[in-house]
Amino acid sequence: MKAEDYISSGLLEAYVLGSLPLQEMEQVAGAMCRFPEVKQEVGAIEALMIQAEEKDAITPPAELEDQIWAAIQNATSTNDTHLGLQHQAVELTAPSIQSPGAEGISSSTPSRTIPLSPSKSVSTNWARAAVWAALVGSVFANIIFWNGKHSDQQQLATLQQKVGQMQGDQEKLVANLRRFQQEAEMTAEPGVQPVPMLSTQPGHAMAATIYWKKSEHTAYVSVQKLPPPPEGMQYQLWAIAGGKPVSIGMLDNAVAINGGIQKVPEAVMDGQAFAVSLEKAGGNASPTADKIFLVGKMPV
Amino acid sequence: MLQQGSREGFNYLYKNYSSVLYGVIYKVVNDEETAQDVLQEAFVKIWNNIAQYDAGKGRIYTWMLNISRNCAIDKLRSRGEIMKSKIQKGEHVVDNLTNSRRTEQQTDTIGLRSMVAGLRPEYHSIVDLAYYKGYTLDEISKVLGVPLGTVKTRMRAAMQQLRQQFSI
Repeated sequence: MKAEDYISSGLLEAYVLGSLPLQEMEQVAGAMCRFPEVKQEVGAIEALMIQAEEKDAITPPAELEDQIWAAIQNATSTNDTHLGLQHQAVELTAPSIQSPGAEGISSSTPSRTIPLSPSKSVSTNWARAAVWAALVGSVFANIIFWNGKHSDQQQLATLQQKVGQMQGDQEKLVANLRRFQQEAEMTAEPGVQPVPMLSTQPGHAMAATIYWKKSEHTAYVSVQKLPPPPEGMQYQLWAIAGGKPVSIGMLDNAVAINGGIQKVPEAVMDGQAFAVSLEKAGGNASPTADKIFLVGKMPV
Repeated sequence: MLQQGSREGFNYLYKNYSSVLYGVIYKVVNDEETAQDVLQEAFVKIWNNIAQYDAGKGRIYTWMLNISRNCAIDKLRSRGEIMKSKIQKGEHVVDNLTNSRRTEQQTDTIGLRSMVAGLRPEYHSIVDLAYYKGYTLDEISKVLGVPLGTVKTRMRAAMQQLRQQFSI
């Protein structure tokens, strides 16, 4: 459309009356930029409307001014950040509506202005609040995590204890199994003579076995059941050869208590029977007669 | 001044424009108390949106007039809708309202409203619907059952007639 077309179209009148849809409003605004005569015509229509409206002007009640200013203040305080931006922008557009006198007023009373600082302090308040919120949130999270970690640690300790117990149990089982295997192997080994020794004390169940490999003069003792030796005492192993007891060494207290197999410390040269007696730690030259607990004869 | 949001800036606007804006609002809503409420709404809106005013698109005077008029029309519509649904329906409402308005305005001042009332009926209804009821050209065309092109032509002719009245 050319400038004349706009002017004669009736759109400019509708534009000033505010009865155009947004799209056509923009169209007219664009034409005003391109054609000075269109802008002039719009100006003329505006002048006509203003002229007419000024004839219809009614002075509102005097108290309304303060009331409206209060409403503006209200709306401003609830919309501070928003307005701060707007006020900045107005600097670019407002000069066209400022009278020189008005400028004088504003420059002579700088203390009455509303600077941007309120909106700044609002934003720092928000920032402060945000920092606090983050901090509080962090502390809570830490407590939760710490608690979680703490309970995890407790669980871990419990598990470790359990695992340790199971390990101990397993070691015992393995040791027992190894003992049985060793016994089984020794029993099966050619030339090894098992000599079971039984309790000489009525009412006290006790037992141990000597595995003697006569050809090599070596022997093992397997403890099935013995009472734990009292403090400072130890079990002593004897071979009875030609009716005389010959010490073949001491039984480890650990083996005596836990059961198990132990190599007989001394060489076993000869014997028709074996015995175990309770002696002072380190042993005696001859067994204490009433402390002979176990005796076993070589099978014939 | 305005950009600083000062009381002086407000005083300046209020002193220079409040009576015209109040006059326009009153003409639309026809009730003093309502007009005062609407004037307050309009000033708050103007104050909060002044950054959006674009000097390239028209005078600030017209911009403020349109904001005030729209506030008033919004108020009127929120009531008019209720009335419409209660009493009548369809486009007859507009004609009836227009006619009743016209008789009311006989006793009005010699301003725009009275000048509009003095227009030829086909011009009068268009300016009245557009300016005092906030109808778009499209809506006017539909309500009056007149082609859009004719509405535009009449709009132009109406304003030309007003212009002549003023220049006399």
